[in-house]
Parts: sequence; structure tokens; C-alpha cells
Amino acid sequence: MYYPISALLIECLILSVVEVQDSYGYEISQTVKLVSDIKESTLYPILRKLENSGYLMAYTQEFQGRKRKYYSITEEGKEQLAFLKKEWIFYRDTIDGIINHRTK
Amino acid sequence: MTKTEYLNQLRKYLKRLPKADYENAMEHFTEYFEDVGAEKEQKIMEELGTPKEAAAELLKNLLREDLKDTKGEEKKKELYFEEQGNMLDFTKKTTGSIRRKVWISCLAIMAAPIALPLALTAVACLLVIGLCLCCVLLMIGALSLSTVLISAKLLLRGLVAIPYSISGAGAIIGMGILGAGLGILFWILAIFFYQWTKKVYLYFIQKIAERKVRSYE
Repeated sequence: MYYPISALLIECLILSVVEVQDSYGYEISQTVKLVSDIKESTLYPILRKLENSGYLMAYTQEFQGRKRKYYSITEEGKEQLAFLKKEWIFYRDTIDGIINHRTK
Repeated sequence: MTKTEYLNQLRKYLKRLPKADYENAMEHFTEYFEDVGAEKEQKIMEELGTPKEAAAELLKNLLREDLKDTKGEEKKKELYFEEQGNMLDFTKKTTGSIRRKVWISCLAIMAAPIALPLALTAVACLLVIGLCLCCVLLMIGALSLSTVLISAKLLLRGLVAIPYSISGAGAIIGMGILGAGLGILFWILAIFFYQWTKKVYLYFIQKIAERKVRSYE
């Protein structure tokens, strides 16, 4: 991908992935990496911050004989995600508008 | 390098983090390696860089996200007030979180890919400044103590002089009381100086760490 993604937008992506279904580190990372070649050492702190802010909740679950940490979205996380989505749509539409000469 | 070697080296660099952060980070990366699968392990290690680089990156980003995290601080405040409702205790707790940030900043500075001598110099400067501030504090404290002692002696001398000359005794006793007052004021000054410099010092360290971290973006 050509354009870089800001850490804030990555927060939006992480919350979106987890909104539909609880997910674990590697899976979240793979989805985010579809659109950004972010390093894991950068992604993990963002995940951690979302957890500290109360938007994500983590729990451990067994998978094929070993433990795995899963993340689920909280009520506050859903509110934050709604806000972030709104901001993204506004941002995206404004840029599109300028590119397509619809806005000054 | 094998996965286990890599993780062990990473562990070495992250060990100085506060326990919870250290354990969570190691857990995340261990699971990450396991989920990636044996074939892609090498590719992941290339992407992460050397364990030292990965740790530096991790510390820098942990600090950055921590500094941005205002929501988390609010949450802790709310939870704390619900449980204790005591302002004094809370200020103690927040200095704890400031201390944690300062500690992670120091770790981030040390781990950053700048020349080791430079990093050591930076830390040494910080320590020296801290020492200087301590000296000034001691000086004010000593000033306060000596003033009080001198005033005590003056008071005694004045009391002893009463039978000889009332006005003379009055003058000496007056000076004694004045000195005692001054001594107490100096002591209060010392306390204020201590609190003020502590705040400024920690704030400074945070700012320096922030700037160092930003210069790598």
C-alpha cells in the first residue's frame, strides 16, 4: 500500500475486527497488515493501550492444547468505535471530494 | 537464530519493564510466534529486526501510546475515587504512574539506537542535575536549622540578661524570636522547593524522552 496509516486509524481497524467476533493477536495483526505494513512491535502497544482505556477486554482460552489470549470489545469500545467510524467516513468523503473536484 | 533464542534475547531487553508490562509483552510475542507457524518464523524475525531493535521499537511505542492514553488515566481516577474517595492517596498513586512513565522513558532512551556513550552522557547529566537540586535543598535545610539554633541561643542569652537590663534583654529576646520565625520560614521554603523541583524534574525527563522518541519517527 502506498499511503501510511496513522496509529489512530489502526485503533479503528482493531476495534472493527473485534466488534463482529472476538479475536486473538495474530488474527488481528494479519487483518491490519492487509492495509499497512506495520511492525508487530508497533501494533502490540496500540492493542495494549486499547485494553488500558477500557475499549477491549482480554481473556485466555485453550486452543489445540495451548493457551491463547483473546480480545473482545466492551460497551465503551463500541461507543468509541462508532465515534471513530464517523470520523473516518467524514475524513474519507472529504478527501474523495477534493480528489474528485467536488469540494473546494 | 531460532524462535526460542530470539524470544530469550528479547526477554533480556524487556526484563526491566514493570512486571505486568513485561509479562504481557512476552506473552503476546510468544503466542505470535506460535501462531505464525514454523515456516514463517524466519520471516517474522527479519521483520522485527534484531531482538534489541524489536525491544527498542516496543519500548518507544509503549511510551508513545502511554503518553497518548488520557482515557486510561481517567478510568483509573474514577475507579480510585469509587474505592477510596481520598485525594491525598490519589496524588500518591499518580506520582506512581508518573514514575512508571519516567522509568519507561529511561528504558526507551537507553534502548534507542544512538551511540551508547551519548545515552550514558544523557543519563549522567540527568543524575548530576538531580544531585545539584538535592544540594540546594540541603543548603536551605541547613540554613533553616542554623537560624533556629542561633535564635534559641539568643533567646536564652536574652532571658539570662533580664536581671541586668530590661531593654537589652528585650532586644536580644526580640532578635531570638525573629530568628526563630525566619528559621521556620526557611523550613517551609525548603518543603515547597522540594515539591516544586520534583515536579519540574519529572516533567523535564518526560519531555526529553518524548522528544527523543519523536526524533525517530
